[in-house]
Amino acid sequence: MNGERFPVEPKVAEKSVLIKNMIRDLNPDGLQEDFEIPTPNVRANVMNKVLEWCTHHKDTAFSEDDDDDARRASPVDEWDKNFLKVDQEMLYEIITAANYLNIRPLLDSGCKVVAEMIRNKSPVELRRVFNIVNDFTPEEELALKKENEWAEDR
Amino acid sequence: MITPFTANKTAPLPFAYKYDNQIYDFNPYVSPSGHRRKKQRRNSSMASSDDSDVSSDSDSKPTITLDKMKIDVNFANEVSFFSESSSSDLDSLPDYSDDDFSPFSDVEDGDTTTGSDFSSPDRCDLKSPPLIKGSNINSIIGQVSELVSEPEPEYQPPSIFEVPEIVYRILKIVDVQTTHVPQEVPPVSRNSCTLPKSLSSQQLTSSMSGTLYNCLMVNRLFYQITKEILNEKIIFSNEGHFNKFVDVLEKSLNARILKPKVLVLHKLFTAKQKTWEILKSRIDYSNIEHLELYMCPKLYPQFTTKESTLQLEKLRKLVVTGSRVLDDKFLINLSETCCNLQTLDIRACELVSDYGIYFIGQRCTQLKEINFGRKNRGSLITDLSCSVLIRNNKQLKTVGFAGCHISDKSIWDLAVNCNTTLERLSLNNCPLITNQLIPLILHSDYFERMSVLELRYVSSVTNWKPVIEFKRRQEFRGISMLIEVCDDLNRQMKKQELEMDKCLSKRIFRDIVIWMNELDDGDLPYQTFVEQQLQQQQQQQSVQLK
Repeated sequence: MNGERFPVEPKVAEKSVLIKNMIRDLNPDGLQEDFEIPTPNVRANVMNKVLEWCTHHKDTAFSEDDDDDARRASPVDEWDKNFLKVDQEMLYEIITAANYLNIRPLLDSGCKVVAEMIRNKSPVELRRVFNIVNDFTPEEELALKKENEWAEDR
Repeated sequence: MITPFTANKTAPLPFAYKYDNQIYDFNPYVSPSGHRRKKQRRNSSMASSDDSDVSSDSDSKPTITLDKMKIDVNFANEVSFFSESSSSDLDSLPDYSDDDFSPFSDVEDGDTTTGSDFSSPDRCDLKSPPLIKGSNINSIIGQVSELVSEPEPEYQPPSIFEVPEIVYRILKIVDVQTTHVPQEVPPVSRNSCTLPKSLSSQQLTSSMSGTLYNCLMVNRLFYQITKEILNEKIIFSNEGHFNKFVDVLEKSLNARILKPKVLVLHKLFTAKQKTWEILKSRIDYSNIEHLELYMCPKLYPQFTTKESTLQLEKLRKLVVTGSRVLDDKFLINLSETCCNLQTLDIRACELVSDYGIYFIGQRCTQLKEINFGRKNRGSLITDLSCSVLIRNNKQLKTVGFAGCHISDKSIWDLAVNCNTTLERLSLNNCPLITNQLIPLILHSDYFERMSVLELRYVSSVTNWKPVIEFKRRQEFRGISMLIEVCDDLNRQMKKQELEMDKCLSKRIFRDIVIWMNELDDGDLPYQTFVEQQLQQQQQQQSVQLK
């Protein structure tokens, strides 16, 4: 975005499924020489963080299955947890970047951190903390509350 | 109602917000022009709920174009951002396009927008178009064209809480981490010396309950996604909540068919079949993986109708315990529809007999856990069905035959077919078990993975020595073996264990004695040793004398 370059090994960059597919499509016979991949929409300092993650996890094997409750239930990896101890803005940008670059394990860790922040908060608190606009009308909110009473212990 | 966007930098610019939010989360009542109209529309649609269906036909056409225009605008700005990321994980995402989030369901989406052929990369849900009266259309179209012509400010990605796929991902994690299927409390072991084995994941539940409910009420997008997730798992352990839920289902006009993965009703002792029938009529079982009616004695969980025998290939776990109505017919039906069943727990369903279980045993081959335990009418379940079942299911891990009239034959079948997989076996109260086979099997070291063996009130077993030896071998292998017996047998077993230990000590003592008294063990014989001592003393004395 800012015209910065991040030279990385292919192994590191291929943590991103988006880039992996790109490399495969552009060089079906394998990489011969260096080449550049533009990643618009990702700010340089966020890219830095994401690459830090990719470098750390370059030898980690992640499961391929996306819809796996066991994976969702497992706690955040200790290293990732420390890695994601950043301000909210940065966390959101990392999540957005992971989503865009399709780095599922990083996206998962980020989402788990946010999920933890969601616990034990009232709707009002949730809106405040995450800066979400309440787009219900008061009548609607009341009606929905009544309609979903059965779910109050979920 | 709108919080200032400057409060947190992560929020996108107001302009972008307005744009994005409309495509992700379409609000039928809010027009782009602002919030004042919202109130009016709400009121008018509430007031005119009867004629809204009629009017929607004529009004929907202009709004379709409106929708598409908005979408085009959005595409131009966002396509570069989304197209790559979403194309690859499109399959794994929930489909929001046919989701019917319309809290006031009289506004039916009987329109054609959902069928439009573009595939929105960000999975916007094209909802019921706003019912816009003719007077507003012109001004709105004017505004939209204004928006189109307006130059786009610098790109600002939407907040993660506006991207449905990310919100879904987050809420799914919240769900998995906070929703617990209610479980029976493991019975406290009667003999205090053995601790109950599994006291794990029980305590977590209460502190985090209500989390999804809170997410539900955050905003429309959250509501819609949370509702989707809630409906994947229908779990009730509270009759009041269950009745309310069914009540709401019954009253909602646009019949939404739920496709749950998990359906668990836990201890709804008085829940009525009538209520269940209502729920049943709103459920499509094609996704069901886990169906459980734990101690709901009045409910008969038939899930196939006469005209359709659909295959429930995903159903892995079926638990119906303590039912007074579950019968063989249900099991026969089950065997025809659920060939991939892995867990079948029909404890204390006393109408079930060999007839039903025979069919299960014939047709299901993936079973890993079965439990037919019962207190009464045990004579209805015998070797006839059980040995067929065991021969067709060679991966059984957990087997509960408590109270059934099975004989040593079934046990022998188990040993032959499930020798390497069986981990838990309950034979409490099985009157036909003899003293012959179990000691023999355990002595021959079958069931190398066995960790729980329940033999309460099996008074015919008296030869405990092989059992105790087996237990010690398992402990040597690193499996802490639990043998559950009643007090009476426990006393017997303890006594035999003591005898064994005595016997062992005796043998050890004998061995030591033999070793000590051996003549040619490399040591000096006692006599020589004593003589040498004497000689040494004499030498010392003579030295002192000198």
